[in-house]
Amino acid sequence: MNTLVIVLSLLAGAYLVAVLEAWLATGRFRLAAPAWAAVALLGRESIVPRTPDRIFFETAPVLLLIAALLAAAVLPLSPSMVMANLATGALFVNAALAYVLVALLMAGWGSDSAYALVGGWRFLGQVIAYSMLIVMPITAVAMRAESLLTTDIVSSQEAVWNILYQPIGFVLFFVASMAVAFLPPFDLPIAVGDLAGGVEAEYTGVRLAVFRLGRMVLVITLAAATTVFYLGGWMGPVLPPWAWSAIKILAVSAAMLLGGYTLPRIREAHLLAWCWKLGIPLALINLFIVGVMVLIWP
Amino acid sequence: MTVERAHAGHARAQHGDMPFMSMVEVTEDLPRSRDGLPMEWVEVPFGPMFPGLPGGLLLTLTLDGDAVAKTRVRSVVGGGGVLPTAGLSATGFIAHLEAMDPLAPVAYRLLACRALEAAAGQVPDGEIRRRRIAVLERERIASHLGWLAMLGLQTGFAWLERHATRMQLECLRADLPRILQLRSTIQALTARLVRTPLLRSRLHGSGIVRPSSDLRGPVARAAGMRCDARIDDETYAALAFEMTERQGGDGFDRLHIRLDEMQQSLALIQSVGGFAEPASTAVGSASGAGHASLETPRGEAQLRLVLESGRVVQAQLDTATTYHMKLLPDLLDQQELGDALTTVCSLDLSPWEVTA
Repeated sequence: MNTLVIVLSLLAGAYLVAVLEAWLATGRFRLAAPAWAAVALLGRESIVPRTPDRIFFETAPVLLLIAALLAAAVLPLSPSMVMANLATGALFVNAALAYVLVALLMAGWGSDSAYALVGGWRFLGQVIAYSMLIVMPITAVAMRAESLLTTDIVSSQEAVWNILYQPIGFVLFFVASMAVAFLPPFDLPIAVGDLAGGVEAEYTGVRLAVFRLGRMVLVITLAAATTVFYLGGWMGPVLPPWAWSAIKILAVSAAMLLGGYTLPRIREAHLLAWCWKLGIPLALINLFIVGVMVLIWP
Repeated sequence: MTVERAHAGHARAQHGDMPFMSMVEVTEDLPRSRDGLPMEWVEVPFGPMFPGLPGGLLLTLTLDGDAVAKTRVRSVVGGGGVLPTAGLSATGFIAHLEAMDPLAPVAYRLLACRALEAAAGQVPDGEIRRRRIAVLERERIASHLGWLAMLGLQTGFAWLERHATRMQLECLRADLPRILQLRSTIQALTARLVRTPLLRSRLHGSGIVRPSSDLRGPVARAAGMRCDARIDDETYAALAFEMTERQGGDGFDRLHIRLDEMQQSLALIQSVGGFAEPASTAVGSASGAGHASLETPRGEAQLRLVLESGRVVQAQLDTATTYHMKLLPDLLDQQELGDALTTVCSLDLSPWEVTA
């Protein structure tokens, strides 16, 4: 039952993210816009490129969706509402997100198109930039909770949320999450102005619909991870726990989309330089500070 | 668009009955990058309809990884000559030139009017000249806003794309009070763009051009050249026009120049105080040769024509984009793909005005 409720919640969240994205793109708030867009995509011919790597081409959109769902499986919406409360939950999130790279590389290679190929390789470069900025802040969060259980991580924030306890980690994780979900300004693999859609360029119809659904679910999953790791998860007064989780997840998703809307796409070389020269030293400083604080004020 | 070499390379790696080959043997026929690394080069077309590039521009890039190894560029909508072989009446010629470049119709209409007037020995009234300038400057603002919208699309800056597009549409239809109301909006836009660090880092150092005789308009002025047809225009001089320039010659300087020019154009429009669309010139059955030059939003355009009994029988047009397109092969060489396309966008090319 939990699994069904969480999956439906993820899909509902993904729909609301799509509404917000369409609102930002067109300037008009239309609650039905994603539904119409989905109907249009499903009704359109699903064209296959001339010489695709068929297995990669067909698998990639589904794999992206599965990766996002897998990562969400260990993230609790309330103390009892979690698909799988694994002892290695925090680590599992990171492991599941690794398949986003695999999905995008498969989409890039499988399409047999230069735009998609360059998009796929761009994302590989992007992963090299952001991956440590996902792992190291999660490590600091687990240090405070003294557990990799995601429910324990939420419980460890009862006195002070991690956004205040380790703000550097929050900023790094938030930015890296945007890069994982290839949201602007980190939308290098699907850049319209550079690559006419990049890894998405050769997808049409139902395949494109699944690809886009996977991306929206990924955004919700990463917002849920940010909520669990830094915003006290389900904690909050008056409202039931699941409602607080939902509010926080949607707020983080909106912040991610709004942030990208107001910024131009980052240059690939700059992304790598900033992540390695600034991000990783900051992540190490964060680990050190959290380590000291755990000893003084757990 | 297909990556035949890439997949062919993959097919070559099938094992089966193939003997072992060392990496040296596998890569011996591949082209070499500047650093000596053997890579499979891919030839990719960008255009003639590509988001973030002007419609009608066909850019064919040979990519060495994600770096540009070779560039070929051509316009698929321009280059057809300025004049039909049979010649045109004065009215027909004005309409023909106006329709030639949909990105700057007023500028070309005015250029045609001026050249015809010069050929027919006519001098328009001073107030008419001033008001024509106001129309031209309004088109300059709209054109620069259109360029900003394209820059927004090219760089994934959705906020800029949306706002600049909306303002461009407003500007194209604006009367005097409305366009003066836009002043504060344009000032706010300018301040916002100059203060956006990611935009600065995106454009800073991209597509640096050095002063040369091939440069025109904002591209030349961003490289520190005093190159503006308005400097020598008496009507502009009477309006206390002063040219803006910068020294760096990169994409960010070109952005700055265009932002400054929008403010400057607003000030000129305010000084003039009204618009007068360039109307058809009544040349009667006049004959003669005429020359006119004019600063279009993309740079100086020059028109020489010969009028015989009221018909234009010869015309020669010289435009900024014709020169700027020639810069691309050297300018894009070894640039990362994203930077290369931003560089192309920053030149604000109009494939329609290519004459050769």
